[in-house]
Amino acid sequence: MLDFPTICFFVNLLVIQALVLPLYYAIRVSKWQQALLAITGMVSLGVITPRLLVFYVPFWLFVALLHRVTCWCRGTRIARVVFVLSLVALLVPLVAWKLLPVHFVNLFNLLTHHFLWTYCRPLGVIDSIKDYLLPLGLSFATFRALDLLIQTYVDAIPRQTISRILAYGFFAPVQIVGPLVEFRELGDSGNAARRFRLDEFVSGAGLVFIGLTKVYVLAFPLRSSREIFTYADVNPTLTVWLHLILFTWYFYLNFAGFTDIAVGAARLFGYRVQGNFNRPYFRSNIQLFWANWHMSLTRWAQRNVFVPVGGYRKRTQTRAIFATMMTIALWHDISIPLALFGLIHATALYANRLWQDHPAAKRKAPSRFNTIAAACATQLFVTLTFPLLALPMEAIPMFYGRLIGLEYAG
Amino acid sequence: MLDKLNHRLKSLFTQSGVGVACTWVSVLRIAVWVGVFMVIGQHWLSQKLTATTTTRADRFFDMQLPFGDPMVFRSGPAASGDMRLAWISGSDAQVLPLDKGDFDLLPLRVRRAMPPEQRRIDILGYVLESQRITESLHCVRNALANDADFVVLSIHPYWSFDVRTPLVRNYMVASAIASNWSYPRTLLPLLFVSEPRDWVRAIFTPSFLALQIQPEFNELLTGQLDQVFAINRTKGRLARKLHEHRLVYYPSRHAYTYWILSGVYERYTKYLPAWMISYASHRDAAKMTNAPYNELMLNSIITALTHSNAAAFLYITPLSDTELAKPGISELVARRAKYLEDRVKSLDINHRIDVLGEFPDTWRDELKFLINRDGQEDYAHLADREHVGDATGQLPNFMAHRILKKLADVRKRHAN
Repeated sequence: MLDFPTICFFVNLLVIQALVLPLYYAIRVSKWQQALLAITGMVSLGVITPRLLVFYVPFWLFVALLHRVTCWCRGTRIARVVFVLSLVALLVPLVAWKLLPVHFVNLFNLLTHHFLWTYCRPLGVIDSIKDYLLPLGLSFATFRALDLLIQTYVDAIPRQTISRILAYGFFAPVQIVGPLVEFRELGDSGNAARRFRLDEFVSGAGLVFIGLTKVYVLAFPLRSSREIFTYADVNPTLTVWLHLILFTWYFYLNFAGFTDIAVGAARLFGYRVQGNFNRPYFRSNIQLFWANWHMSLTRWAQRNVFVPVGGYRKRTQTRAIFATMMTIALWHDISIPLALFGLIHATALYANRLWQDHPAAKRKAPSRFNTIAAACATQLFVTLTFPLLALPMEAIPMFYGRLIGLEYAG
Repeated sequence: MLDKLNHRLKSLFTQSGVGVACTWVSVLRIAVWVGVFMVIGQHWLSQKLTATTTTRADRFFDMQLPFGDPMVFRSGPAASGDMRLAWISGSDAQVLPLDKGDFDLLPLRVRRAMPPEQRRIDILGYVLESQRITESLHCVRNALANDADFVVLSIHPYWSFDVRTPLVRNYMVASAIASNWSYPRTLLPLLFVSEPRDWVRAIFTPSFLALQIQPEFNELLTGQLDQVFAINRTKGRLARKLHEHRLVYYPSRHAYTYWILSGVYERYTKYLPAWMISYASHRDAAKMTNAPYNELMLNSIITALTHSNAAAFLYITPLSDTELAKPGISELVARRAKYLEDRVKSLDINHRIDVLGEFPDTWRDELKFLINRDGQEDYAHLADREHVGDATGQLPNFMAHRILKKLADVRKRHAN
């Protein structure tokens, strides 16, 4: 198995949390709580396979080092150069993985395992019976690290201790899926230790329960709809459409379910991280869709791409929209289908922006019927672009051909 | 009361800003879903969970559920024959047919090779698609729990010994924990290789049938929904295109556990980066050592057999000439065969356990191995072939003789 089932990660985490939480709330010293958070995250990754720690511990130590260097250089002439080099250095593993997946995954597994086998044989033995894996959570880790560094560079985050950065990097609930949390979401209470609060605990447990319900009860029955991407050419057009629509719901419910579990698990630790979805399929235009779909990624891109590129200035707005959407798309994978996905959504957002500025759009509030029709149209548009997330380039023409009824022989 | 609880939960979730509120309707919806699934599952379970004689052969009981999950087996059948034989093996006990029909099984051929008066044998079949040492242990424990009089266990010369391949299914660790509660020496290493979820599963599954058969249940659910949202799974052009695309990723998926270790998957070399081929070619099979974890599992198997009254026949899966001709392989097999034989001979109950490390060449030469699509002889799988006929040759006679002889020895010793 190359990909680790996300639900297994969360079951592991909840069991670890059940053991750790009494100690966590008993400590009442912020820095020890931070250390325990970091250890919990490391254990959560390490039980999947110790190989992951060989990669992530140096990775986050490197981030801590870059954070310190950025702090030191702040206000000096080399600050900009150091900052750009730091960003490039952090992006190297992610870009290498997306561009050369086979080579990177092989190298990732073999080198990390070889290190353990050579320098820590007991862990090497344990690691050797674990599966070959993708670098789990690398996309999330890279973007969280970039965010930390950018916020440090613009002086929004003061100098932090290594243990706080490790606690952020290894914050278990959001390690492999879930909201792309900001450093400030975990560090806004300064040095105050987290106290146990029953209402927070119940709310967190409730969210975990709701997340599990979404994943197991609502999304799971729809999962076979994914197979339409494999068998579209041998199924009637109507079936292809039906399964594509079911897939969009599967995709949303599954992801939203895991997000709820992550948010709930974070709340069990006393942290209120923001949600990731807010009924995105019921939004009446594409801008509102993106404001409510994978909201943490959208916020990240808005903060670190849209604003710096000039999204709030009329002259540079178009450029900012395209840059933002391409970042969001290519974060998933650096490929032609994802580039197309980004371009199509950026164009739609641009068109929506033009329409919003048009006098006709401002004349009167839309009727209820128009709002529902607009929500349906938005959902249809999104549904039609989702195959780009799931198919390689060579299969895309065939799939869209089937949607309009074209036949493919043999 | 529920209203109060709902109100409390609603206020909590509304504060959270996530947009989720717990209402009467949502509670009812969850209850209905759970009810529906339990009714379907219970109905289905009652039909599936007891082993019944299969269409494959009379008194052959397939102990696996349709999904082939070795974590949970059917409950054993009521005794109907003179003896209960458990046959535990991987796909090497499947004999592929000439046509595209269903494969035959080595245990059935062995029973057919026995004298007619001695064929009243119930066979508990544990022929897994892939078998590793952890699975073997689980099967042995299950077979013994089902009162097997005789256990035949095939041990793979690679997968049963190599450190990187002690199990093929992740969730087997949970089963291994569950079946080793009273064996601390086996349980301790499992502590290190397991994940917390494995312990949860090991603790709860014995009491909850629905959890035990979860993979089966998933299959059932998917099957039922397929009937509603019918999807045709005939492989068309799109599927072939995607298959080609996935092949590029296939070697990276298997490099660790299969390709690098044995060279079995050499047909995928064109998809592998050059550096990796070079790395793999420097792996010397002759230098491979047994893994402590696998040895421990093997010892647990032998200990389990020792503590039972069952007789057993353990053999190392015979490999093809093509495979044995590869550098270091025959030495590797010889070394592992000797290890196994020495391990059993060191026990004072070796009168009950027959062990065969390497099949005599006279018997092995008659085996007809599957010819793969690249024209090469497969390393371990058997297939009946046109012109040359029966793939198993005299092997069933040989094995039937060994089994009956061992059984006679044991019975004679018991009588004395």
